[in-house]
Formats: sequence, structure tokens, C-alpha cells
Amino acid sequence: MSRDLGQPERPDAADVLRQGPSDIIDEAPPPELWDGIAGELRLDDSGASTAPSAADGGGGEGGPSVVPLGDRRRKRSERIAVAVGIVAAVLLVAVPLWLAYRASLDLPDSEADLVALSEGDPATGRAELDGRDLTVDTSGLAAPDGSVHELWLLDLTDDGELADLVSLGIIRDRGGTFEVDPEVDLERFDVVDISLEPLDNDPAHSGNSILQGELG
Amino acid sequence: MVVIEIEPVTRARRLGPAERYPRGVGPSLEERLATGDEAALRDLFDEHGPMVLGLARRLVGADAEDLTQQVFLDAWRSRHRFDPEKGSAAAWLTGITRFKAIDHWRASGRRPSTPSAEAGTYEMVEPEIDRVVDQLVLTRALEALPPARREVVELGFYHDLTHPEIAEKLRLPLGTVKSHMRRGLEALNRELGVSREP
Repeated sequence: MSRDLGQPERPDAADVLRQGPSDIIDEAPPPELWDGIAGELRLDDSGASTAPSAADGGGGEGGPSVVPLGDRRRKRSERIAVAVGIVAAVLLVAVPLWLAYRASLDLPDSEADLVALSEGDPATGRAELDGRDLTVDTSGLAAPDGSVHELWLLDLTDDGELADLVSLGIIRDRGGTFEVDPEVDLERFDVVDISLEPLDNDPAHSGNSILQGELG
Repeated sequence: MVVIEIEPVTRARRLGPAERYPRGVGPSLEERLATGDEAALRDLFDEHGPMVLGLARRLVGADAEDLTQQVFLDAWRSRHRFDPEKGSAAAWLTGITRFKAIDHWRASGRRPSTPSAEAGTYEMVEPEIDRVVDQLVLTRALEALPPARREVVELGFYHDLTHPEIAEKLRLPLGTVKSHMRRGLEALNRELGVSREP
């Protein structure tokens, strides 16, 4: 029964799986938690041999400057804010009013008609983005045995080059609502793609796109 | 009100063979950590901090925040020992959390005060810690499996389907189902091994 995990009596993956999924939930760390880590690293850098104290409440030292933690993220959000500001300035007041109007009608932030890539393919679809929830609905999608349909967001450059892609998961029952990971920049990943994927061990996109549409 | 018309499907096309893998930008988080990039520790914390804190909360209760700090400091100091080829950063961090939690109880000599645990002898603590950590590692590792393997393993272990039943439900050959199950369990056992390394 034992696999080579170094401890002959310990349960293996199959044993642990039979206990069911873990019920431990993530807990968002308070800001000062990272400050404490960064503070300790500063002390390490300066050569001081301070062992982390178990009794320490974890609050960072006031003195050393904290690792510029949010810099990369602030810069990105600043860039987006500037970009949005420019667009808004160009369109004057139209964009904010338009978005507010759409929101007041309970319309999605953006939407796309999904069009078949193959001539004569009757498959169609629709995608709606509401905050970070992407809802898709399709008709005419047929999955042969051993295949499924997978939903992706593509990041295409202005020249139509593929910069990156991210999978949102497998589509069951012709559609569904998928939560887009917070890391995914929806300004860049704005092309919805539905592919036909063989049930193999390859997580890559099969290259066989059935429906595509650009969110706008 | 201005209605902004967007042309649908202006860039529709099939993906070329070289394009199909999600790439991200630049070296991976694991590579950056190994090369001593401090910003990588912050990214590791952003990605896995909530999982570590949640796990620490179950293992040591009120001292969870402090334990979480110890885990990430230890991760930084032992980053040269992290081998991304062997397993995920998540499994590695759960392993550090496991050992920090065990040390915590050994040092204190107190009985655990986790909400769900019954009052018990000290000797029961380590097996319970191991059980909780193992279960979390596997749950996360399962989520990270390629879709086909994940489906097969979940149907087999969470829904108690037999291999022939899974084959019928997914409309796959029986041999493929067995292969997915074997490969899936191999991957899960690897993650478990990484989490159990001292």
C-alpha cells in the first residue's frame, strides 16, 4: 500500500481523497501582516542577526521603510486610470453617462456576439460581461464523444497577434457564468473564444476554435 | 447619449500551433523566487497568503497571523530549496506551514484550541495537523489538474463512480479513463510528497 513518500504508514493520495474535499477557506491577510514580513527582510538585509520572535505580535517596525509592495500594482492601475481618463476626455461626458445609463438599465458592462469560424456552421452564441462574471449562452454546439467545449479569453494585439490566452473552464449545458480571475486584465483579454477540446492530458488550446467574439 | 458601435468579430481566427499555451509575461513566479527577486516574494504572498493564513487559522487558531509571517520568511530564506520541477509553490508553502504548526505546538506544550477539535491528548495533535494539511494540499492540487484528469479523479473519488461508469459518463474509452486516473493520482501524490518534505 505504501508509496515512496518516506513514511510507510502514511495515507497516500487515494486515501486522502476519500476523506472528501478540504473545508479550509482562504482568509485575507490584513495589511500589517505583509508589513511584518517586509520589515524582517529589511533587518536581514542590513546584516542584523535578528531571529523572528514568536512572541512578536507581527506588527512591522516603524523605522525601516517597507518594501514598495504595491508599486507594480499601483503603476498598472495608474496606467489604466490614465488611459480611461484620456478616452473619457476624448468622448467628453458621453462615456461616463453612457456607462451609467447602461448600469441603470441593468445592462452588462460589455457583450459580444459569438460567431462561428467555420462557414456554414450553425453554431452561435452570446457573451455578457458583468463586473468579473462572464455569462455565455450558445446554440448549435455539438461535442462528439471524447470532446468538450472550453471557454477562453484571448489577448490580441492591435495587429491581431495572440499575446496571451486564459481558460475560464469547460462549458456544460450550452453555457454558464464564469468568474474571471482577478489577475486577468479585462482591458486586454477582450476576445471570447470557445474551442472544441479533446479530453486528453493537454491543457493547451486545441487550436480548434468554434466561436469567437470581441467584447465591447 | 452616445451609442458606441463596436464591430463584432473583427479579429476572429483560429490559433496557430505555437500560440496555444497561456504564456503570461516574463519568467515564472517560481523562477523569479529562485533568482532572489524580492518582488517575487510579494507576488507569492499575494497569490498564496490567503491560503496559508486560512490553513494557519485551523492549525494554531489565534496565532495564525504570526505563523503566516513565519511561513513566508522561511520560504524566502529557504527559497534555494524550492524546486518547481518537483511540485507547486502552493504545496511547498503548505509543507512549511505544516512544520511550523507542529513546532508551534511542541514549543507551547499546550493542547490545541482549534474550534472543531475535541479536547484531546497532545499526542493526537500531529496526526490531525497532517490530516488537515494533506486534505488541503490535495484539494488545491486537484483544482490544478488538467480538466480531463480532474474530471476523472473527482468522479471516481468524490462521486464514487467506477471506471466503467466514468467512461460511460464522459464517453471515453475505458483505457483512457484508467490512464487519466493513474496520471492524476501520480500528480496528486507528487504534490503530497512535496508538502511532506521537511
